[in-house]
Amino acid sequence: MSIVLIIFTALIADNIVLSQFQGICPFLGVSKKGSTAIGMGFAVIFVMAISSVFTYMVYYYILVPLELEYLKTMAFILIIASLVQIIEMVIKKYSPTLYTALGVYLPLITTNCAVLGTANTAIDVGYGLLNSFALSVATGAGFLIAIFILSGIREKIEKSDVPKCFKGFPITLIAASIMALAFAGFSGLFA
Amino acid sequence: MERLKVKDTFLNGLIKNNPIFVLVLGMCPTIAMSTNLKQGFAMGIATTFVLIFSNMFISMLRKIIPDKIRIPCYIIIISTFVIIVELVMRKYLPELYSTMKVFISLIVVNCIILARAESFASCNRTFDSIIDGLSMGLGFTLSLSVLGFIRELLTSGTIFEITIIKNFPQMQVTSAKAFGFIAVGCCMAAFNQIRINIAKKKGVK
Amino acid sequence: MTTKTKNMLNSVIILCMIATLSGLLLGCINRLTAIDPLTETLNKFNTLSGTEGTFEMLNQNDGDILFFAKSDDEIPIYAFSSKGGGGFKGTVEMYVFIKENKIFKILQGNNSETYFSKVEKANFYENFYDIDLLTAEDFSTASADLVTGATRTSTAVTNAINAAKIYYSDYIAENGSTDGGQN
Repeated sequence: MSIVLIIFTALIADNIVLSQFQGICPFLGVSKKGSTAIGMGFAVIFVMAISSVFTYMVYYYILVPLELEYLKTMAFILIIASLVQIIEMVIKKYSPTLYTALGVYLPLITTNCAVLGTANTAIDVGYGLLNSFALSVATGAGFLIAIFILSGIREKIEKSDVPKCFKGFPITLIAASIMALAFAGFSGLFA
Repeated sequence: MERLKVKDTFLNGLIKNNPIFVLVLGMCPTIAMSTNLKQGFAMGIATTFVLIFSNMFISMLRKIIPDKIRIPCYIIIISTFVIIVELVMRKYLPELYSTMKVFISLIVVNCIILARAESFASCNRTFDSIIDGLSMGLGFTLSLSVLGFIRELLTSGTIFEITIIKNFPQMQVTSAKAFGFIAVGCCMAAFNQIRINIAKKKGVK
Repeated sequence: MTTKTKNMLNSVIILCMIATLSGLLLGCINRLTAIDPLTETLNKFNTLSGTEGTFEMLNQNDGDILFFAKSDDEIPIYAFSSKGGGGFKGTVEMYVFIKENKIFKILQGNNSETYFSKVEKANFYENFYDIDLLTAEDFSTASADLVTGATRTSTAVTNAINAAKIYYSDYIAENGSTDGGQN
């Protein structure tokens, strides 16, 4: 499967948040302002790109030769958690400006379903190293697009008169549903 | 005193601190797996299983695990039980497993489990932690089942895949998936409204 | 040994102990719940093809063919589990059942493709039924109109069915037909 097709499918036709419904916790939680949304989006792209390489190598060079494929979930989540710790320490030491922009969200990415979900997808479909890397970066970019659009909508909702019981998460979910319907229009695009 | 605390802990997860509608944790499997009643119920039961056992073991080991490495230890314990659920489902419920495969492995990053482990199981006795896991899990299962029931009824007129309303206009697959957001949003709003009404009644009294 | 190293050693030991215990538990459960793909697929062939006899596996993992079995009815049914590339999420797995040199049933195998419902709704499989496999040309994307909105999935399905067809023709050419002279 050509790499361009993988990238564009992951970006809009099969968007990780609006079409595969993974990564919704941070999608709802961090999208209050545009700047925080962009910070979270880039942090997710960064972590996904690096973790795709490590999970691919651990799966194919350690788990499969030892016939331990059933430990995939445990191995992947430990890799992701430790990568996030290491990345946070490295960013804190070498680039304080980057740390103030991204660093607060890094621990949240450990429990982001999108990171683990994409690692699992890349293994299930059987992509090679380059294809998995492209898939992860494109998926992260899709997450960034979705969360950025939602943050714009939420900023506008702040100024409108929402009924009391809908304030906060319910109206955000309704906005997300309209986004999902809009993106569903892309669904047959590269199929 | 002891019995009161157990009952409080048990009702805590069901209504006052309902993981989906009040704490807003664990949204990923909620929106994706509540398309029909069978999947929602199965997902809830699987999460309850992992919650109870991980709470139990983390609480039993809470005095031994050093503070610095508690997160990796919690992750290992939680993922052990998730893998057990995966393996058992793969053997005994293959059709259900093939539709739910993606989200069963994502139980390990379900915010509910890690949050309860960190906030409750690591500083309470084993028995209380088991009750807490049971109540949170049952609250999650109940909410997922209600959502699954509503969604299945409104998108294809069936319950447990038995047609209830004949000749129901079936919603398209992609729209039925986006309907999940609306269903969860409206249920959350209804829950909020009930809580506001109860608070008003209590305030007036 | 300073307290710092002692604490670190303590942490590492506890981490390793927990990891070992959970590894042992999982190893036992994996052993208990292991499934054998051969028996699984044979059972599936038995139930899905409507055969009155039982299937016997003839070959497995030969190129695009994952499983190839033959039943012991009077008119034998040949069952394939083949895979085809080019789908939306990679390869798809199809079950193809052949009787008297013609495909009479096609079902999807273990797949996580998103668009199978579209392919099935458009009755795409019927394009391949009742064609004499030994004399027809190889199936390609030109043989049947691909389903709009699921072009990649239908391409992969076509590739899988074609793989089964080619293998079947080669098998019959080598071993001859055993179903009463229908050539």
